[in-house]
Amino acid sequence: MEYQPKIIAREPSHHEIGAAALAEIDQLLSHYPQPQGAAIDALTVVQKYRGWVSDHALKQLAEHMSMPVADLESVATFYNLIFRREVGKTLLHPCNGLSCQLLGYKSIQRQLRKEINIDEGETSANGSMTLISLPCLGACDKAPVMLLRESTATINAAGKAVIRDKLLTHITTTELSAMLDDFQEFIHG
Amino acid sequence: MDEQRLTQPLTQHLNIDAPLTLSQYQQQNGYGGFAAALQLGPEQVLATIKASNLRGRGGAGFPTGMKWSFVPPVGKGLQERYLIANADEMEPGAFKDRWLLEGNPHQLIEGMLIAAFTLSATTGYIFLRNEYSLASARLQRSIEECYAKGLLGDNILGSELCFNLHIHTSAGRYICGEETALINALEGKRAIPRAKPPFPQVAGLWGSPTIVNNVEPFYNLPNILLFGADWYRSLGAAEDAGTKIYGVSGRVQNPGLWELPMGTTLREIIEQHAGGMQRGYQLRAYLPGGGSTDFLLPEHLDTAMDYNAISAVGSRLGTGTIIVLDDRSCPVDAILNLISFFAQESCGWCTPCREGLPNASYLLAKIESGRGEVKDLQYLKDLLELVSFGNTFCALAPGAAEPLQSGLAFFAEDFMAHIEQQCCPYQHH
Repeated sequence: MEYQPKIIAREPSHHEIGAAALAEIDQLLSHYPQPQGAAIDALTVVQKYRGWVSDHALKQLAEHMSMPVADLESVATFYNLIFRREVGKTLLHPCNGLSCQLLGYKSIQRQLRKEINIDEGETSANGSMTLISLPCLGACDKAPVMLLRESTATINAAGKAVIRDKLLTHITTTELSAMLDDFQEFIHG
Repeated sequence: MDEQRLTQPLTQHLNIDAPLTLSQYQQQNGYGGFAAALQLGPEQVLATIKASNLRGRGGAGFPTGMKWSFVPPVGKGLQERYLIANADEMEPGAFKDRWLLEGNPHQLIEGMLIAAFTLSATTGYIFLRNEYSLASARLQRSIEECYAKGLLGDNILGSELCFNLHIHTSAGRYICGEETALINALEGKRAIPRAKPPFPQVAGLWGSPTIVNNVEPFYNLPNILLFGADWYRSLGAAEDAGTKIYGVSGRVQNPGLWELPMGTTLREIIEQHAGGMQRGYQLRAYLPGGGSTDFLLPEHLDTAMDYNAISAVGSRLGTGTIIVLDDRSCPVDAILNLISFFAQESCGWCTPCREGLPNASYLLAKIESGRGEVKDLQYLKDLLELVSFGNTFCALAPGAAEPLQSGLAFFAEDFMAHIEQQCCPYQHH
C-alpha cells in the first residue's frame, strides 16, 4: 500500500496563554523554592483554560518559567493527564480498575465506543467527547464508575475558573445514555 | 468523647456530605492533639509516636516514629525541611484516602501540623491525586480557614513554629506513589524513583530533609497525642496497634469501608461488614491489600489483617482494601487487568520493569484470548524472576509480580483450561 502521510492540523497561532492563566501560574510559583517545582501545576493551569497544551503554549510557558522547552516537554509527555493533543469538550473517563472490571467496565466501554463511534483515546467527529479510560479511580465500593469532566474551565459564582466534573457511580449499561445526556445538560444547561 | 469509648479515632468526625468547618472541628476538640504536642515538645512527641507503634499505611508498614527519627537534628545541614502527605491514591482497589480526605480534611492538616512541629518542617505539600477534585476543594477551603485563624503560616498559635502548607495536584501516574518518584514530581520532573541512599529523610526535596507519609498515619496522630501511646496500642485486636481503614470491593453484598481494630480477621471484614458474597456468587480468592498483593484463598479467612499475620500466609496487608474475586469471573482476565495496569504505569527507567511487564501482559492477553501455549506459562514464570526484588530499581514491578505469581499457583487449572480449550471458559456469550 502506498504510504499516506498523516495530516496533522496546524495549531491556531492565537493559542496564547492568557493573563488569567499566567496570574494563576505566578501564584503557584510562590509555593515552590524553585520555579521548576510548579511545572506540573502550571501545565495543568494552561490546560484548564485551553483544554490541552499546544506546542506554542508549551514554548510560552517554558519561557515564563525560565525552563528549557525540552525539560517542560519531557514533563508534559510523562504525565498522562496532560494532553498534548486537542481533546473534546467532555472527557469520558470510565474506570478500568479491577473492581470496576469485575462489575462491568468492559460492557460500558463497549457501549460507549458504539454509541459515540470512537475508540479509546479518540475524539468524536463533532469534537464533543474524548474517551480515555483511567486506572482505578478510588471509588471501588460504587463500581463500576466513570468520571465525566469538562476539558476547559467554567468561571464559577466566585469568579474562579474551575473544571466541573461528575463521578457517575453504579453505572448500568441501560442507564448509560441517559447519564451522558444529563452531564451534557449539567455542562451546558 | 472520653478515651475509653473512643474506638474509631480516624473517622469519629467524618462527614462525607458536610465535612466539619474549622470552628466545628475545634468544638469537637479538633487541633487539641496539636495543642498537646506544643505542650509536650518535639522530643516527647517523637517518643510518644514511637511508643504507640504506629506504622505506615501505604503498603510497606514502616514504623512512623523510626522513619521520623532518621531526620538529622536541627542545625545540621540544610535548614529547610519538608513534610509531604502522599495522597496520590492509585493502588487498584484502594479507596480509603478519598473517604478520609473528603470526609474530614482538618484531621489531615492537624496530623501534618503535629509532624511539622516534631520535625521542624517549614513547608508541607499535600500530593493529591488529580481526579480527587472534591477532596481538593475541601482541603483548599480548610487550609484557607487555618491561615485565617493562625493555624498555618508564621508563629502558629504564638509558638515558634512557622509552617506553610500547599496542595500539589498531580497529573497522573501510579509511580508517583513511590516516595522518591513523588519527590521528583514535586520538583517538576518526570516521576522516576531515585537511588537510595541517600534516603529522603536526609536528602529529599531539593536536597533537604524530607518526610513522606501516607494520608492515614496523619489521621492517627491527633488522638495519639490526646490520649497517649498506651490507649492507642490497646485499640489493636492482635499484634499491631491502633485501628485501620479496611475496605472491600467486588461482588459482595455491601462493598464499603470501615474503621476497625488493627488485626480484625479477614472473615469478619468480608462476611460480616461486607455482608458476604452476592447471591449466586462464591468467594474464589481475594487480594487483601490492593492490586500489588498476592492472592489469598477462602482457607485464609481466619487470618488477622495485620502486617505479620498476612505476611505469614504469603501476602501483604498493603493498603488494607480487599478486592474479592468471585467464581464467575475469569482469574486470568483479572490478572491480565492488573498486569496491564502495572505495565502501563511503569516509569520506564529500569529495563526489567519496562520490558518485563509489557511482555507478561502480552502473554496473559494471548492466553486469555485463547491463543496461549503451554510454554507461555514457563515464560511467565521466567518474567517473574526477571522483575523480582534486586533486579529492579523500585518496588513497582516486584509488587506487580505478586498477584501473578500467586495467581499462577492458585489458578493453574484455569490457565490450563484456557490453553487446552483455546478460549476463555468464563465467556458464556
